[in-house]
Amino acid sequence: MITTALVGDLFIVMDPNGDLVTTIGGQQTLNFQQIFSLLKANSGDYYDTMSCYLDTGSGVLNLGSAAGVVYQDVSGIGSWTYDFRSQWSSTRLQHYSYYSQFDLVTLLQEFGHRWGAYVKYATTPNTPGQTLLHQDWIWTPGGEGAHWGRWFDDGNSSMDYDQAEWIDNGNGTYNRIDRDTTQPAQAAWFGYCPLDQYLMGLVPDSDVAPLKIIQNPSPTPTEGGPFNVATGPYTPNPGVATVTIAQIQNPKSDDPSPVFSGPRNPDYLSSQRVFHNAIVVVTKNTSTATTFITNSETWRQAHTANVRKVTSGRLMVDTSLLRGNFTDIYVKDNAADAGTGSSTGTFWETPDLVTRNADDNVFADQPVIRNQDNWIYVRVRNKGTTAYANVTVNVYLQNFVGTEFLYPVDWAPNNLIGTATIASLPAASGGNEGTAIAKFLWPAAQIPPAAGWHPCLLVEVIPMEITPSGLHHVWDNRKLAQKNVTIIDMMMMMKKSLLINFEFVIGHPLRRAVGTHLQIEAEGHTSDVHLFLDPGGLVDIADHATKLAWDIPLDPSRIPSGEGGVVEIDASHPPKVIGHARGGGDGLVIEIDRGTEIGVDGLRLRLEDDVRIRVGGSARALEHRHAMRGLRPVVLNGLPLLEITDPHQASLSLPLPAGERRALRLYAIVMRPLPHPARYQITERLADRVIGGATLQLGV
Amino acid sequence: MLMSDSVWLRARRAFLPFHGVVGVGWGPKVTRGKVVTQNAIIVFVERKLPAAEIRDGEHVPPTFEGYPSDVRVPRLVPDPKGARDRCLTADVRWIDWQKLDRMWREQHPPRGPR
Repeated sequence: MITTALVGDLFIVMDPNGDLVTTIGGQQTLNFQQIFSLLKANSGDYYDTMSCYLDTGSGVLNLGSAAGVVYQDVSGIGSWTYDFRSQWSSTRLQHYSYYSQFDLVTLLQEFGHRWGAYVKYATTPNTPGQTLLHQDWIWTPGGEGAHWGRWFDDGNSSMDYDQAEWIDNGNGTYNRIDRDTTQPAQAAWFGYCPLDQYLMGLVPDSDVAPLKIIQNPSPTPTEGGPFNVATGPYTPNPGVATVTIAQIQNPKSDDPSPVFSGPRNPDYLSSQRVFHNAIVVVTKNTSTATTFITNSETWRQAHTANVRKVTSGRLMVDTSLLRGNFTDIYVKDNAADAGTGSSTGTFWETPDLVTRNADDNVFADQPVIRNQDNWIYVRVRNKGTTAYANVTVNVYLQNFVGTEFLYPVDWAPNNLIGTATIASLPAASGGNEGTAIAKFLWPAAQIPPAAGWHPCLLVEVIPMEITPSGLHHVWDNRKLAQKNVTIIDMMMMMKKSLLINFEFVIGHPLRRAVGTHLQIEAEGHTSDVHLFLDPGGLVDIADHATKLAWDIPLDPSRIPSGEGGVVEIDASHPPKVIGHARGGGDGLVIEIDRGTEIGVDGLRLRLEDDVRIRVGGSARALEHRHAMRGLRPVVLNGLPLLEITDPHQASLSLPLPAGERRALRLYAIVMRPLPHPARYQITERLADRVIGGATLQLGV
Repeated sequence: MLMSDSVWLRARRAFLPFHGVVGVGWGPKVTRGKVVTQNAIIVFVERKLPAAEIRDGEHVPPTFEGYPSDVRVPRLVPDPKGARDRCLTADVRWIDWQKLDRMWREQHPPRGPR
């Protein structure tokens, strides 16, 4: 009799009598469709992939490892496209795998079979497909169609069998390092090579450098060691062949369908980036207190972390089991956010994250103090009537003020501050949401040292949402939050005036759109604050600017930054106008020197001063070109800037190239202590949608 | 672009109903341990039978719509000697688990009340 159980985020199928065994000819395997039915009945149809861990030690069949694809919608990866979901009675499943061994490479390889390694290449378009990427194959014939061969220098790819690395000796020969993947330290070297990641939809084709094939190496490499030491030299014959990504994309004359070739579609900007992976333990034991189940939990967690690590955060695999109320769990983007899914309004000032200078259990923001440990508290909410077990909260640091962050790439593992688990998130009760606080120590060593370079904190709550699954923003996902507020406690330092350089970054490497619209909105602003925007070279200011001189330490050679990003200054003397715009605008500008006389026959007009006359066009052409409001081009002490003349609604359009990040600066000169905090929200808009923002707060 | 029809799907629809067929795949045709062509219809069977034992109308033709066919038994268990030859995806990915599920139900009929 088959029974099931939940152990944390593992689904356990207990089959003491081997009832799941099915016999095919002389071979035995397990009924994986039946296993999926059990999973679905107990834990829903939420999963993109199902991984079965086979407890062979309990007597379950040793089936090696394997994967299959139920739903294949990607073209350009050397595969048919098809949909067999209905056969599995699923609307989401696209891949399954099973394992009898549990090293990191095996776990990566079977997951990677969702997309590879199936591609061939054609030297020129519409010529026959070539198979050098899959040679030489010394194992069971037929397997080469799904794995890279020994000759291909596939770096650290997990998608081969030889698990070896070629080292170019620079003299036409190569050495080779074979690795034993059962040794964790050696297995940790493996991941996905750039070609793997291209096929997975994680990087553009431009990231795939020409691939090297070490043909017919002499002597013939051995398999099975020695491990982790270089052997060789090996001489390729007739030499090293090169395969380019364009040749892989080339249509092949023997393609059975156009879907096999061409650029990957969807590409890396539109591909799926968030996967839900159910982990099913199949055992003959009837107890859940087994070492195998304990180990399975370790492997489960390692898989999520490992996929993130080897893809640099480009892919998120949530291996938690989703309970029916997983959409009730959320963090607020702003006070009005009720966790309905997509939020509106300011989303980068989550009220559910605060920083504290000590672990004092007070849920209120304090400015971070450098050179000491600080604490981060994250409040997670449950609006449902059922408690939720095993909620994981991760906090990440982006050490710059960016206006746009995309999930999952910007929640990258190298930026992780910490992980906390809420064993049970209480249910809502009496009209109040259930809440729990996850605490994180923010060690002094992880706090950015630069006073002028302010961190942004990103939050992720697992169980993750199942939609959206592509690249997306914080507002799209109730499980994400962002704190992008820089608070400067001026009372602690202000005796005279302050010069503040607030650096922030607009744009994103994964943004397709060209151009952006920037808006600055003030709240609590007083005339004691003078603001200037440095548009990062995106506005041609010089010829259009009023020239100002101000006796403050701000000029091209004195940009306050780093530890000196906030400096005390003497700004008691106001800025002086020392010149006006010379050129600029459309039309023709005529300059006439003083003393010029114009006239005929006794009627003469003499110009006592230099004169500039514009014929046609507009003196405010720059402002028109950039749709500027509340901004005036100035050159301050030689710095081309935009003076913010109306902080309540200043805005402009900027010709930001697609896929580019650009650092901008907001200079604030604060003449005297402010009677109340002043807040400046900088937002970036694309097509009338605010896609990112950052906030500077002066005073607490 | 999801394909609802292709030579492979047509082959699948044609051969999967045959007795003893457990999957229809696409890939290299292997003859006597060697790959002889890259693009073939692979018909995976429980066991290879002499022609005389194959049911009428269930013979797999040598070609299907111009592509060669290959009839073989899928490799579903690893070679105990091949430490690194243990990923069976090459064959497993073509197995029709719905048909296996039906076979499993035949092998495990529900027990009636005692």
